[in-house]
Amino acid sequence: MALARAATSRVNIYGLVTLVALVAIWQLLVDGGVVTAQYIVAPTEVVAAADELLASGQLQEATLHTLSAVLIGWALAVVLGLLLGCMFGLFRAARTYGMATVDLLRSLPTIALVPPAVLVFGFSVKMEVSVITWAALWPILINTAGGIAQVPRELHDAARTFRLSRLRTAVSVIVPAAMPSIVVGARLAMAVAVILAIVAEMAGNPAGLGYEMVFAQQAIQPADMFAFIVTIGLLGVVLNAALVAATRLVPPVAVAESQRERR
Amino acid sequence: MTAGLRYVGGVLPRLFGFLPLVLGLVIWELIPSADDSPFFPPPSAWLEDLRNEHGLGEILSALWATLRTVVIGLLVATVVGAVVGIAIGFFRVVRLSLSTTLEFLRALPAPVIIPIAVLALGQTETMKVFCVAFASVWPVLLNAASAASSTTPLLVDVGRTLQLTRAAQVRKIVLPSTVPAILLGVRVALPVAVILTILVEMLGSNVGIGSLLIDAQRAYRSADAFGLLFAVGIFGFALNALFTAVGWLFLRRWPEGAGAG
Repeated sequence: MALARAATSRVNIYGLVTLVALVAIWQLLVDGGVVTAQYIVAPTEVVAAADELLASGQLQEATLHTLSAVLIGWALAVVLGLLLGCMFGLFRAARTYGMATVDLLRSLPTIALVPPAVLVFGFSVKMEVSVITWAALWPILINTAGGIAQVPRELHDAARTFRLSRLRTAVSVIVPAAMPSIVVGARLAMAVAVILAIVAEMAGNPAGLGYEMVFAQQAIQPADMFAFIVTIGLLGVVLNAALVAATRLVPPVAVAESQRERR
Repeated sequence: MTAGLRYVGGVLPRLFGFLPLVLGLVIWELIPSADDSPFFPPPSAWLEDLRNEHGLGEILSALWATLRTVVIGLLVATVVGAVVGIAIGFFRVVRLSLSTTLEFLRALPAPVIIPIAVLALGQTETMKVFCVAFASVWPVLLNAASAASSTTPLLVDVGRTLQLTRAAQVRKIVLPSTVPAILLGVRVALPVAVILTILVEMLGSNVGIGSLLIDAQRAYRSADAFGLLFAVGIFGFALNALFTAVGWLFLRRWPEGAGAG
């Protein structure tokens, strides 16, 4: 009963109506000839273009390329970020002799890495992955280190009472307690990874959704361009939803905390 | 005296913190093979190339152009984000109506706005500012909305007791209590704005640090690209520090607990 109510209350009627109305107004404006800007196409034309791109396989190919770059780059960032974050969180010396470097490096606008990365790795998926990993690394590192720093004193004391070794304390007490913060970091990193994949494809590697979108713009194919844009948006939404679903696998406390920390 | 000591004690560890970076650069400089690899030029070559290819004047004027786009874009985003955000937070119908659309727009990776803007507005300064503002409006908007909807109930009641109009309630009570949250949103938006500005400059403009970067890449000038990357890094760091200082100055005398968000 409560579940059903939760499900219905989650469907936001006003919101859906507004969204549909906006698309309908767009269509009517173009059909009615109110908007005659050459580059604004009606939603129906976008759907037709998407259909064609699907039939030729171009859309699937580009999506697959971008998706794999995002997932590989993000996974590498999670592994590296967890390791480095634990190092910074667990050892004071690492913080003293390294945190300023981290702050400096992460304030580097990642986009500026694309040209050097293209020169080092060539126009390849390797270049994309390296840029994505670099950008997605920082939210995970910071949230892991921060989460570890905020583990309550009582847990440390409890571990000491049980005479756990330092390694055992870290593995079975501290890192699990920091999990909510790490999960938030992983989600932030996923959003960053998608953006950087698109950016790297727009400015560097000529493949994937970002490149196809810019190519359609330069070829003045607005219908194709909007089809790629909608696909990119859906990719972002789906990846975020998938990650939210995946976080349900970590302990319930962690999920509750991470939901609470969402803006 | 003690304050001075504490100051030194606070700064020194931070300076030590740059050790890995400095070590890394020194090692990079000293690796013998680095000299003949065209793609891993040593740091000394970066600065040399920067001087030979551009000179300080050109780099500074490029950074100035980039800075201008970032700042104007952020200002537009702050005003729009604050107004729409407060409307969303304060009026329930507005929140319900717009939330689905906003959720999608927020999840949309911001760079996709660039091709649309280029087609609609052409390669103009307006187009750049529009792209930057579009990308950086979301953190401001969402922060303003959540702060406006969680304004301390007591304050809202005060407004009602004094029989203020809705407009006066927003202006005198809700807006001041959301300012810290709005500033926090701008802080989050700052790196996004820098990224978007440089990306727009890379895609077919001839001003700004982004266009210098893409030129270096197209001409295979590796040391130049690394040098510009270095310059952009300093730029980003300085911008962040500057904003932190401005925010601190601004919020120094803000009443405690006014920011409910």
